[in-house]
Amino acid sequence: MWIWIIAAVVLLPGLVFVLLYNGLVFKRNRVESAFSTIDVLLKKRYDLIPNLVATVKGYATHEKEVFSEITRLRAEAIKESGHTDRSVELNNRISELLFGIMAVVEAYPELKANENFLHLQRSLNEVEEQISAARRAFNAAVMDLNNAVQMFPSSVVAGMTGFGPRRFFEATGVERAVPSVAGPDGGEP
Amino acid sequence: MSGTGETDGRTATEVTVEGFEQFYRTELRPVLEELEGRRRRVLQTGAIAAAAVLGGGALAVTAGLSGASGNALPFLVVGGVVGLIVAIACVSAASRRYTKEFKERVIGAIVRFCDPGLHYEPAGSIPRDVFRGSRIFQHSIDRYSGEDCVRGTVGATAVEFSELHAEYKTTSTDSKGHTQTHWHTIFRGLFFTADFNKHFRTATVVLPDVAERAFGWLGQKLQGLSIGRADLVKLEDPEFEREFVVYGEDQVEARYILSTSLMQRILEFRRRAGCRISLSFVGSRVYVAVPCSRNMFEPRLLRGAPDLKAATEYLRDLQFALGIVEDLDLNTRIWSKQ
Repeated sequence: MWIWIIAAVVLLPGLVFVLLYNGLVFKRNRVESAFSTIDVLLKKRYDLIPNLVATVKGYATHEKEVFSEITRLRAEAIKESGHTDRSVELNNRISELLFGIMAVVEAYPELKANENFLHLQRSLNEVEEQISAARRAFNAAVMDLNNAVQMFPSSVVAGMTGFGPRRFFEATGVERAVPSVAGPDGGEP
Repeated sequence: MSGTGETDGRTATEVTVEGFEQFYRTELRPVLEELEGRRRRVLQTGAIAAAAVLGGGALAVTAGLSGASGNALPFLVVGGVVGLIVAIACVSAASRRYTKEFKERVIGAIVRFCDPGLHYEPAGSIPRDVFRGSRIFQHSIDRYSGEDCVRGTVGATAVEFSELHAEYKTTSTDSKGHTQTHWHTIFRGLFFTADFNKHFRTATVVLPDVAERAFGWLGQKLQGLSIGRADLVKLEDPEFEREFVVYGEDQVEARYILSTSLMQRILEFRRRAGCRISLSFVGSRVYVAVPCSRNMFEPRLLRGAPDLKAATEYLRDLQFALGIVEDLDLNTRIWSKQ
């Protein structure tokens, strides 16, 4: 009888520890997976930029500086991987420039009739919204992990095993103001 | 809204009261007046049948009380029962014929008035496999019926909806060994499906939230354990989270579908519907289930057919269903799906 009680007293905390630790690992992996999804989608956006620049620069000849800057930022962002401040800054700047290019296009009606441009615009709208969704998924995963890290009893296990809270992704001013680039019918998602 | 499904520059949800009243006066009223004669004949058939059955019953009672020959009474009773069955069959057949014609000529005309691109089938319904494929309801179906199916295109969006009633059965045996079958409703109401404006590969289901409302944080934990459902998707809109629980096969795609603006639109639609709606997004289509115990698009035998108020109610029901396209903004086609 006593053996069972002692075994329970020893094993039960161990079992709880393992369960809580595994829960934390699961949540951390979800954050990593959500982050890699953002990375994949950002790369998808990088792939659209050269085509967009090639299509638009033939029409919007006065915007040469914007095109060269976005091309430079794209090259830099491809090299800079991971959730670093620099990477976030580069991508925020790319978002701003893309928004600027799309706003400039309004002044070129012949560009808005270009099939290739319309296709690029739709693809860009799609990838922008997918990036936004991936960032929301990342923030939800971070919230789950941070709750577990800061709430008792998992906070005790997190403290013992070196789990810390993660930083949320914050939307830029442009992203807050513009959910996506307006379409040919002027609609908003 | 813009697109092919317009009538004189307006759409189903933009039909004006004046426009409908004029349509009623010029096109609907003559049809309703013609149908009024049929409606009266159905009622007359019913009255004659009732009188015959009552008369037969009175005769049997009189015969019984006056001590008529014991041989005649069973014949009178059997004759009465047969008469009752024949009377019910006659009235029901006349009523069915009237309902069929009313729906084809009146509801069909209102549907075409709303949008000539729409096609109405009074006896048609959303197929059972489509209903099952929506993944909103998981229970196996034992009885399935539907009517009043509308198909067509609203703007850029292909839509289809009908009334549906899906049930499952259970059997119970009492102490005497009698087996009884009980029918339970899985869903009864309006079932709507449309082509969604974004491409997606996985399934996302949006159900009314019961657990979180009742049990708060613990309820949310229970939702995560829901058997047979995909992963719980926790969204950032607190009002949406209070009203709905979302299960999705892909956390990112669920959020790609349920953009912040779509969440707001679903909440507004939920308020407009005034009942616990469910939605799902499967195979690039959206499915909406609106529970409703009222039988829509049915003629009323006891009310005169030429009735503007009743016709306006049919129009409102139709506009409610077609309005889902606008409510969910399905005609906005700014993504790669056109």
